Amino acid sequence: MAQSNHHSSSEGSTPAGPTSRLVGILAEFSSPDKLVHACDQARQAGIRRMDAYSPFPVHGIDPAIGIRRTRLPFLVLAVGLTGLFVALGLQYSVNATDAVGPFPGYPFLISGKPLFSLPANIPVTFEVIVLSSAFATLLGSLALNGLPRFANPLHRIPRFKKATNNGFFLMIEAEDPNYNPRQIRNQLEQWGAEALEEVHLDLTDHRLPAFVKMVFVLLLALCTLPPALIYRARGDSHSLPRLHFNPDMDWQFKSQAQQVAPNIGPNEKNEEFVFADQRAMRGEVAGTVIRGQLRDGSAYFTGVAAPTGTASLSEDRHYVSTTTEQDPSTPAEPNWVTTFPDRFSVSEETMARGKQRFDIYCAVCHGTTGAGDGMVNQRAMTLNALQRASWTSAKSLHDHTVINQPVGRIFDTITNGRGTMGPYRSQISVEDRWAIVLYVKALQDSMSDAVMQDGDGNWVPVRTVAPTAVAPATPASDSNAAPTNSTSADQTGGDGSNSTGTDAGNNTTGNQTDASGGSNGNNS
Amino acid sequence: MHAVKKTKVTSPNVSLGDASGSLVLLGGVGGLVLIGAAFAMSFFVANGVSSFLHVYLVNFLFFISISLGALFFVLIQHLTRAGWSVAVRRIAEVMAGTIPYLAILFIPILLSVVAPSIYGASEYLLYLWVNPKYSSEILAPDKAAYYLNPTLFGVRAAVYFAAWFMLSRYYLNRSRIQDENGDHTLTTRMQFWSAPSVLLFAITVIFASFDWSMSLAPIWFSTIWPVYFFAGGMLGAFCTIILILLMLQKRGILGDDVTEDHYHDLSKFTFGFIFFWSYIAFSQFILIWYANIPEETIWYQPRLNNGWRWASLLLLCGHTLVPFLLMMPRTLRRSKNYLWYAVIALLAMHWFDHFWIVMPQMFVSFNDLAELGTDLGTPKHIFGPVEACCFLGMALLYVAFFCWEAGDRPLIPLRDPRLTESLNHKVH
Repeated sequence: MAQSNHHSSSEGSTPAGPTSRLVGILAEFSSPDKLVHACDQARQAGIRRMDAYSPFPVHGIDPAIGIRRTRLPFLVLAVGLTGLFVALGLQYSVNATDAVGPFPGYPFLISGKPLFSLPANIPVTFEVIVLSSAFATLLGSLALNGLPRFANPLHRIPRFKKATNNGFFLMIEAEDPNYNPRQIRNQLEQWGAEALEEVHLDLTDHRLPAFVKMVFVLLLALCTLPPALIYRARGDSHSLPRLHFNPDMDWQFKSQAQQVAPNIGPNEKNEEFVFADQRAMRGEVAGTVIRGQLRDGSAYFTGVAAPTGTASLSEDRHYVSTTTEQDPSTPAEPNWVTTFPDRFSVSEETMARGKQRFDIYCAVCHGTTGAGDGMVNQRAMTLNALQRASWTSAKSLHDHTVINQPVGRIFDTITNGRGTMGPYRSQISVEDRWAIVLYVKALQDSMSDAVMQDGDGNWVPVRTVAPTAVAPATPASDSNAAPTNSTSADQTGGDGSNSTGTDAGNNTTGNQTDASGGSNGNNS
Repeated sequence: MHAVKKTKVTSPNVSLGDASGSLVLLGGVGGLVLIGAAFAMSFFVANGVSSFLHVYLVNFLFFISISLGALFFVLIQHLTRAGWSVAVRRIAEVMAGTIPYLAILFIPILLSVVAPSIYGASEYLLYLWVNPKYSSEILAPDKAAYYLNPTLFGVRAAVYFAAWFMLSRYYLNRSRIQDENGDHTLTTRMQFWSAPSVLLFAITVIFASFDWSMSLAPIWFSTIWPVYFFAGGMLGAFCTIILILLMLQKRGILGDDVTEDHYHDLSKFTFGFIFFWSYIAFSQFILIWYANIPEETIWYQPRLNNGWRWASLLLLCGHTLVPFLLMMPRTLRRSKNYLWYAVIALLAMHWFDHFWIVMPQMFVSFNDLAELGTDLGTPKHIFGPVEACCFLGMALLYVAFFCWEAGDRPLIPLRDPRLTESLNHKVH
């Protein structure tokens, strides 16, 4: 378009040919005050279609050319209110309903807050209002001003360039009903115009070049592709693996753990591995210790009193507890230490540390008092009752079987787990594990006389007492102990072996829990 | 359209004149009588002096925040070399000039803190941390007692008032000297000192707001608190400047020189600070609400439950939503008749903001001490004659302070170099 107009543009001031149309007359003034004065006069002469141009905002020009107050604020208000309702509605439908539709809801409980809760929604709502209002302001002002306008006949007039520097212009449009082509020049000169120039619009060709339209249509068509592809892929499943945009990082030329070592032989039949044992992963070299992983003194790291003369270099577990019957070659019960190892200092400090660690790692299931009533356990038991979960109840640490355990045994339970309880070896450091053992021992002592309410509201001692070997377990005593230890699958093997190792009086209990442990073993 | 520019003040009356004397007398005597009455009446309501002191603190915070807002307004005009505001700046300067008199009104609050430590009374009066039992059992572990102790509280208050006295006097006096000699270098000096003055102002107001209102809940803290206090104070200051101008013009003072364009700009600031206050208040609330940590929610707990829930909602509507919409239209912002109602309603809301901050804390504090073993009973009343008299008394005193400070001297900077710009100020 710009090119096609070019030939006539330099002749803006000459009388136009039949291919041009008179747009209006441009008057130049020497000062802003004169411009405002002329605008006033023009307005009083009944002229409405005019515009003033100046290098800087001139005070008082708006009323002088009769600009009415803009309707933009109402537009912005309307859009802002729309934003308010859209934002609140979206958050409501997404957060608080599970309605299906274009925006399927996904109710998600966050730290106990209500699903639809106004304070949480205000920041989002506020931002949406601000954003939509800003867009409405920008686009609205463009639209109300008739923008964007790619060309204006005024820009063909050389004199008009001064409008950005030191010129003050008034343009009166020919379409104004009070525009009188014969009088207007005299009028403007009376009002103080220093120079006058007619403005013409070139009509020779103001259509868009065909290729621009083509490109535009093509771009529009291309724009529909991504949404179309996304729509097609929505909820789709594919048999092919997904695309890898960065295969170098997805498949690296290296061996990973548990892989076979690379074959460096001449072909597939004559395999020759980098390592003779064909494993890519290498074990520790005999006689060495990985830096920072020296484990000296087995009691401190395993809870087992080491036979004299040997020291375990690894804290890896002795698989003892639940597999005694299947593996008769394993010693029935390790020689648990009964006192804290020398490297661990029993002090107020370690006790406090143990309490803190206990409350973090153990209390969720075992409860802060160790009664086996942690929040996770409570919820799981509720789900159990509804038959929506099969959970093995956490052990009460005040169960007589636990109380009789030597400290090494408790340390081992934390380290390697027991039954359905997982190992905490990797989460809790050795020192902290002993601190927890210390705290557990203190908890047990502190609860020796405490009572608690069981599920039926009866007051029962927290510490359960071992039935004597002479008296067989009666149903009554069994139900008494039920809330705390009836489902202690994790104690099955331990109790059995414990009875041989440390406490001969526990035989009966060991048998009982063996029976219940069988069923629980299936669960886990 | 473009008349000749005004270069001089043309109003026949630019000062209170003889009226100031009688207003000082009326305000001073009336104010003292009413505050005395409130104090006397407080002996017959539940919790006695304690309830009086709380209401007294509400009103003190209300007026000091307004005067501080006015002081900041003066500082910021010099800092930005503003021209439009010259015609209304003296009002703010005089309002800031009342700070030294408000320091006298601080004495009862200071006494409530210092007296128990001198006479060994362990009774709860105003600030919970004054109680030695409380501070030793609750505060000491947090080492907050190093900050919240009566001696330092008094010392800090002295520092605040000294700083504000210096700032307000400096700007008021320079401006008045300029009325007489028209020396432009005075403006230059004031502009030079405005930046460090703003820093000094900020630091003192931050700690004053911690000391005087946040420490009502000694173990609770909010780092946005000074901004909240400041935002409310600025809003109050703009409303009060508008209100004083309306009153003066009603009596024919400054009639020609302060135009609706000045009102329009002041109202724009009012509008801005309505939203600024709301933004800060909500920022404080949403973080605490979302994190839901007991040591933080403890402050909102009494304010969002039982009867105070409605007070909080009133604040939300009356301090935020309604004024936001009703101060938005340009035509309303330019209407003096409308502004009368608007600024009085906003000032009422600003007062209620401080009421909402201080009063629920009385209930909490009584309960806190009761838990420590000193059962002091539970406060019963909310709003009664004590509150009404105390507010009216303090308002009358503020009028007296303002008139005393204004005297029969001009209420407009007569020879400020930017006066011409301000007199011809137009908002487009």
